[in-house]
Amino acid sequence: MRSVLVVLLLLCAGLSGCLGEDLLFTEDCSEFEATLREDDGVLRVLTYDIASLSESFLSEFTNETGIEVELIRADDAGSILEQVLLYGGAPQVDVALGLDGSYLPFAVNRCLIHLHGVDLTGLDGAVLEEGASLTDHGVPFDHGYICLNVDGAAVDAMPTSLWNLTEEEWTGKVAIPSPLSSSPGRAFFLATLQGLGDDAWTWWEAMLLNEPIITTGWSEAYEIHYSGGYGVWEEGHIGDAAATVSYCHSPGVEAYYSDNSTQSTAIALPGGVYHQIEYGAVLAGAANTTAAEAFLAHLVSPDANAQMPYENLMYSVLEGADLPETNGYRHHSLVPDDAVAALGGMDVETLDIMLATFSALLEA
Amino acid sequence: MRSPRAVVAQVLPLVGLAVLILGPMAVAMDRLWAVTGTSPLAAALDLSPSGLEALRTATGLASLAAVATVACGVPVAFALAAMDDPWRRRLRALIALPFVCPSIVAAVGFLALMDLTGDVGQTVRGWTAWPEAGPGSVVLLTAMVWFNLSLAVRVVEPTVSRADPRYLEQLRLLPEGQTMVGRLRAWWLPLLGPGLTAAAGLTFTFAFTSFALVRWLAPDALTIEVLLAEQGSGAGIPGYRVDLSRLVLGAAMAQATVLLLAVSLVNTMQRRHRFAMDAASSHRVRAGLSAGLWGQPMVRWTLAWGAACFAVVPLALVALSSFRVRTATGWRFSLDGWRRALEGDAGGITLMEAFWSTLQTASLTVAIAVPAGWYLATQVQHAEREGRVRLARGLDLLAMVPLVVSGAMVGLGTLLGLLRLAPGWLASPWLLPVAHATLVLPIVVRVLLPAMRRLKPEFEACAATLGIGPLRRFVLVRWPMLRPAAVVAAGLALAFSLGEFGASWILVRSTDASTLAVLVDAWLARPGFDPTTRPAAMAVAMVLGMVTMVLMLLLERWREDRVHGGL
Repeated sequence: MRSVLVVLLLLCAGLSGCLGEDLLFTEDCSEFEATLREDDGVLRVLTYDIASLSESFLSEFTNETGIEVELIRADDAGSILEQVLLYGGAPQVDVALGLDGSYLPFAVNRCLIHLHGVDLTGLDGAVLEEGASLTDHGVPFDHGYICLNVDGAAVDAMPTSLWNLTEEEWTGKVAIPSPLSSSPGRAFFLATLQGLGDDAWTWWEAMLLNEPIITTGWSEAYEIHYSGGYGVWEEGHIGDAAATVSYCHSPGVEAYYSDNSTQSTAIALPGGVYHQIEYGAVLAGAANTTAAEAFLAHLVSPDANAQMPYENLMYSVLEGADLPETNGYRHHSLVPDDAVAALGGMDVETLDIMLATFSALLEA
Repeated sequence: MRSPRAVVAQVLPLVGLAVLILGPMAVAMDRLWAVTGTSPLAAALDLSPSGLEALRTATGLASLAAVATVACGVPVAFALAAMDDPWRRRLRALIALPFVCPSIVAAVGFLALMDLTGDVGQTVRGWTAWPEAGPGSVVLLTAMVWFNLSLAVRVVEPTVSRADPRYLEQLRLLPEGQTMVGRLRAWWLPLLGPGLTAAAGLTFTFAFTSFALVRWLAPDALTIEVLLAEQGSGAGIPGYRVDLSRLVLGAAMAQATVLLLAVSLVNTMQRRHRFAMDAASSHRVRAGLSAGLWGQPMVRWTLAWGAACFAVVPLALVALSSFRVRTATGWRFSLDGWRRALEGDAGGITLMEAFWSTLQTASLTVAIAVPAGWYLATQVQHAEREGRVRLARGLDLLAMVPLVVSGAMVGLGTLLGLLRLAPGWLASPWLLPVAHATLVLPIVVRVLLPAMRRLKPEFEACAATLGIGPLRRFVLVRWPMLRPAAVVAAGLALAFSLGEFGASWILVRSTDASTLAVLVDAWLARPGFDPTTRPAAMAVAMVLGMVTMVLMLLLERWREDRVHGGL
């Protein structure tokens, strides 16, 4: 028995003994050399459940280029980033698709993203301008704005400032996806940090004291807790929140699927609006960067990208594109003027500290 | 004295199994330790407030579930014991149905139940069973009882239906048998106590590690398993959310400790739960039971039928909800949900792809778990026969290790371990079956070992003296006698793999495959603006439920006789 244990311990120690070597990462990317993934003739794309990657889109791409595509589905944008960071410099996929401006910088900062050569001509000027710090690394493929959505039937008056939400009238009635685990939640968090400036933390302290419903993800906040959305019709709805953080065009999507009717309204409160741009990025160490770039170019091609509002419920990044008018989709959607984007000049280390501070505030 | 080659041949597979079971955990722990600079023990002792909340909530809910399951299971078991066949057998089979039902299907079933009961369901949905678990926790608790009810029934009903009532009659003549409390202390507690405690311990373990049910029925409840599954993927990254890595490390340690205590309790109680008396005739037992409360047909039929309906209703509602699509003004019946599930919508995995992938995973799980469990059980039995008690206990303990790590932890361990050692294997079709086989190994060993212990060594010895070689001895003697137990073990491994959610949920994110259980979750998690999204989830859940039930039914028919394993 003892001999079995000794062998076991030695084996396990052998497995774990060399850990720690990869814990350091270099900050100068010219010194960083990723391990190339072995080319098996298949382009591996890490993404969340992006609806626009339909069978027809993929087969059309394969027919045109002869490149086979395999989709690896992560849970959400946060999971994509975490997998990319876990792989480190030895990626098991070629493309990461779906990292937004608040997640992509973490991968860029660790030299895990390959500078792409995709031609971005024909894409929306505002998107390219607001995402300028990231477009060398990522190809923007869709975008949207994060806003507060309010159930018009559940409130007497619409809030005019984020500070209204800290008042007694709103106690326990605001659902916010956690910035620690949700990308719309993180976008809203960044909006407040940049939009409210020095007052941001005072607002969060006051807000957290007002018993908001902090959820793990967008679905829990919008579908289960928000009383103004489609969740009312779904199993398991609770409906205790009159307002939630979602997209400025969520009421438009509601109307699109409900014969132009919705009781949900998006409002652009100062410090509560974020322009979310989603990117596709080629990973450093990708087996075939040419194939990866061809894939991303296909994704932003006019025919494929124009379908974003229908298939991915997001804006297309094509110049001059807008939401369709069908069933009040465009009519009920809000396009805010003063949205902040990306990290707004903040570096990733600072954001990491901010998130840890938020976590500590939540625990207090 | 055995030759060194024989010793090596015996030890090597054991070491392989040990590395398979413990290796991923060791590597994951080591990585988290390296990233956080905190030892697992220190991390567990210094859990953050949210970690402590998760521990409190998981322990509180699981304890309530254990007590409620026993409280509901005992009267149902008595009612069943007082009934005649064939209804007793049929109702018992119905009540056992939820235990093999995939947890995600159960979650979907209870969501449908809440929805279809209108305002009543909505009100119940708002109730809270545990202070920090939030709304929906009463429904969650009900679902946990639904799941585990058959555990309590299976322990109590056979014991009661074989216990000779004359013992009780004699006890009534003695001073301590005069009162109900006295009879409880002198008769029922010694008779049922250890078995019920074991059932409560198992219920506690399953409830403590429940993920799908908590995720969908009480979305605000933070338990250890939810914390590990939903936030664990961000752990183990150097310099990124180190607080999270520390939380995951501490939570995993705390979970292992609690489960170790629960599993030890179950093991101890199972050893004590031996029915030593001669079984009485069923006629006599029923005559005895009919003298009391259970003699009232209304009582026993209401209880037994109530439990059977309770077992079936959520599953039936899944089917109904898969055809029910919302409109701007109400509802309509349609096949649109099924169509979307079959087409996989845009970019998703189709129902049939997940179906075949699930069957493949489940078959491979059986192909790994049953031989591995067989080998391990054989080694334990050999060690016992040779009188090497400590070796037998050690091997038994090794087989039990996966019970103290949850699905999420095995998933995380495998993910972190493979990322470090062999990242290419993450895309392997063997990844999920190996993880599932690891998790189901304790159950396979628990079913095979008692059957092996009952096998008389004289048969094989006799065959050996006739000059029959080891292989033919296996084919002619050992396999025919152990086949029923092997079929039960294979069935349980199959059912487990079909419905396994925690580890699959974490691991399929590294592959292009999916399983039906994960596909249900993917449909549920998708924004439901399109009204056919939720019915599509229901359709996939229904297929998963049906596949599990049909396979279990086929196995039940194929099995030659009943085998009572340790579980």
